[in-house]
Amino acid sequence: MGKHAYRFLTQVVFLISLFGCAGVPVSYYDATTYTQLTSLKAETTTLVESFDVKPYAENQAKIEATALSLRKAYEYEKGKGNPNSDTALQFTKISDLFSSDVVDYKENAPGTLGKRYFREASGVLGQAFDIAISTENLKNKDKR
Amino acid sequence: MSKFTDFIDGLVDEGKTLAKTEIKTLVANAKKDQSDFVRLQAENLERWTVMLADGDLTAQGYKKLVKKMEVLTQLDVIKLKVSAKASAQRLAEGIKTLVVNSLFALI
Repeated sequence: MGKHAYRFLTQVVFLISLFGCAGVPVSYYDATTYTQLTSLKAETTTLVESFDVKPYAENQAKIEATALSLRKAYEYEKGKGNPNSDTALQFTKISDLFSSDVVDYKENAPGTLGKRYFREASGVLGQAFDIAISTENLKNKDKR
Repeated sequence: MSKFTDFIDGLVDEGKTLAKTEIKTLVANAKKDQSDFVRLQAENLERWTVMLADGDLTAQGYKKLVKKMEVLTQLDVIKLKVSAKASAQRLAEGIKTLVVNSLFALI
């Protein structure tokens, strides 16, 4: 075996042991996650946009239902364990964004933050979902 | 002159605490950035500033929206991290499939 071939194999074996020991802690693409993200994006952004015009009491039931849907989706992601911790963290941050919109809605009379404030807040929420959706799309497909 | 630069230039700042030129340059450069994310955030900031100038947002509402940009940035950082991990995963799996399973069988 030539000197170059030996060096190449040594490097390959080193890489194998490196990846083997450390693993690559990232989950594979999950169609359920993708569907949940796109569905929750539509549900939450439509709801938050309505905060500019509808009183809180009229939206209360929808807010509770949406918060529950977000919680269920988070639990699904968390259940996949450490390799999926990045996506679970994204869900936490998105849920926090939604919760802060709800608090602002509850605590401020219509127009206090601006007549089109919640339309813009809804846009931010949509952008947050878009980032999480494209994150899921970046993951590899499981070939096993 | 855009509404955004007009608004920044028109702010009364007797203490000279606001770096007006730097803010305008920051937004102008961000709007030309290669990253879709950076360009989108520059557009957000510009639009909200114009809305503040037009009275569609209050100062409180404007501040709340700008603070949300921090969360978007954190989400994008996670996305970049996942992208790097996915590349490493492809390399590790490629080595296992092509080198260990195929090449090793031939040598």
